[in-house]
Amino acid sequence: MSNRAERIRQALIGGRNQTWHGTETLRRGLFLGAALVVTGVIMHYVDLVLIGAPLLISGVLATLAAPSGEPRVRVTPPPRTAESTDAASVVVEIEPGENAELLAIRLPTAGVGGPGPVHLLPASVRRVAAPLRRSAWGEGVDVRVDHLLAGPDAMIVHGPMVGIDMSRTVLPPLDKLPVGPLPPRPAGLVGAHRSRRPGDGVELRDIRPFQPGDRLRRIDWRVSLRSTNGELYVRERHATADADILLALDTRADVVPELAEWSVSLPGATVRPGGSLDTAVRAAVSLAASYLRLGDRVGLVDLGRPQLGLRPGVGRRQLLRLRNQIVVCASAAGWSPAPVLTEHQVPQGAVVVVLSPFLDDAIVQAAVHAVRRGSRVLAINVLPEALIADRSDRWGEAVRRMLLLEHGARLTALRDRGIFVMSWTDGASIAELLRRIRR
Amino acid sequence: MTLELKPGRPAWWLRAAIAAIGAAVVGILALQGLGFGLMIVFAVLAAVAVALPSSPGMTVFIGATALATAFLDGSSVGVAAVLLIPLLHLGHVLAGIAGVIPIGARLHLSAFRRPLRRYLLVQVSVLALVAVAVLLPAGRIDPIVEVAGLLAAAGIGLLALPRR
Repeated sequence: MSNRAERIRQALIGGRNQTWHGTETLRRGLFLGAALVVTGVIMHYVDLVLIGAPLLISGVLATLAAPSGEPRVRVTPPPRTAESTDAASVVVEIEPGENAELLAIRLPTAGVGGPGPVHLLPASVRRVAAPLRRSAWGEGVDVRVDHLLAGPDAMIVHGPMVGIDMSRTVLPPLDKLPVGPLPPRPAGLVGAHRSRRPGDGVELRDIRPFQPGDRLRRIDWRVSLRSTNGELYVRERHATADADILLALDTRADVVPELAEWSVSLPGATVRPGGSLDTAVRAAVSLAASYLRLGDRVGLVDLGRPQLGLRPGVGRRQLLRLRNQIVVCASAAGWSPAPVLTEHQVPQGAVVVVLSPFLDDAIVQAAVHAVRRGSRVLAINVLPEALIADRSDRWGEAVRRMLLLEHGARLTALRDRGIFVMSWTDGASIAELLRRIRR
Repeated sequence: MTLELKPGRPAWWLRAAIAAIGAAVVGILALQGLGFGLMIVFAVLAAVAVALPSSPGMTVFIGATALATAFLDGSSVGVAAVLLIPLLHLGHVLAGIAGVIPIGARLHLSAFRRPLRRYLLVQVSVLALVAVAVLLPAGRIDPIVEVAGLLAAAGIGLLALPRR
């Protein structure tokens, strides 16, 4: 068989890494050991013989006890979606073949991001469990079981074999918020929020004379007996209504307190921990969780990529959908120059919660247009509180001041147009704000 | 039985051990009277073996050390040679293992149990050879014995050649 055909055959069966083969260390050790022994004997130098002998013996032992068989590594894949607090683990089962002595395997390790480092283990290990712990939310490759098996003194090896990437999505964490009442949605007749319409709620709305169609159990006998006109009076209650919340996430910018870091990309991550996008996402999912728990309808708009939005819905499945969709939005963040918030994206009567660092005028205009269309808008500012100037630039402090002045002017403009503005410090303050804007 | 994976020790320890061996070997050669220029060459070879353990650096280092000690020591077995034998063998074994794992790997000490046992076994047999060499009378040996020795070494070499 020609060399070319042999190379093609090797490529098709996976190359020599698929079989047990000697390393260069083995060949060099054997050659040097034999050369030193022979030279020592010929030239009558015992030192050469004695230094060469261990190399020769090691090589011979490694060759005589060469491993055989087809090693197998099986990975039990972890769940695709996980919470950041989950203590999951990946389990790997190994069949090393005969006479294998060392196992080099890439496995996740606590404190190390990604698929983790290569671990050198004895090949007698048949089953390994490695912890999967990723504090940062988002999508990422957590497991890739690259492996190599070796015989005595790692002189005959099988591999290295590259494993398959196994990615997981760690959902953004939920902070429990004390939820306040929201502006009611006129069309709704069920839910946790008081409507202005009469209905079957708990809160008293009015006491009025009995009308045909009123239920008898609503008659207030005490008021009716005290009345002088002899009429019956009924207690009218407020209807309860669900509410639509639309979380408008500004994914166009992700900034941290250090201004010098704003234009530097973070290798291996799409979202900066503690940055504005991280804060916005945590705020969005926490708000969504709280209001979905009350039975409200919560939707999502990605201001940078409108096609990634999610229509309002209710229930735990909606929360799961929303958290997954936010991860998708965050992974595709930062490409759109202008925010998009059209009337088709906002249901009638919904409360729009804009989560943004408000670093440009376009986002202010989008919020103002939403107010003009009749939506109730709440702006949550996620710009880090204390910006740090770039010390390497002599204009660093001036740039910081300019940014803060512009930012302050934008927030004032929002307030002037009837938009409630608040910084995301904690959930309680947001709930308090929502309580204040209740009609 | 399932092994719960622990963080392990950094693979830098393996390279540090090779570096320590290299330093010890260079020190022994310096005590034997190796010139400064050659010491620099040996130090560079040791550094190559540490930085690239899968390269021929360690092989060249062992070969050069063997030749240097043979010419410095003469035909008799000196103390320096007795010290160098386990050191160079250990360097060869550690470089072989370090050559198949990345620099950022993590080591689990249980993996070294069997290589260490084999290393000690080989060293015991070689030290027995040293004892024989020390006890044997120095001077010219009968050519027939020499030829027999060479044939034996060649036979071992043939056995040891890789079959694949």
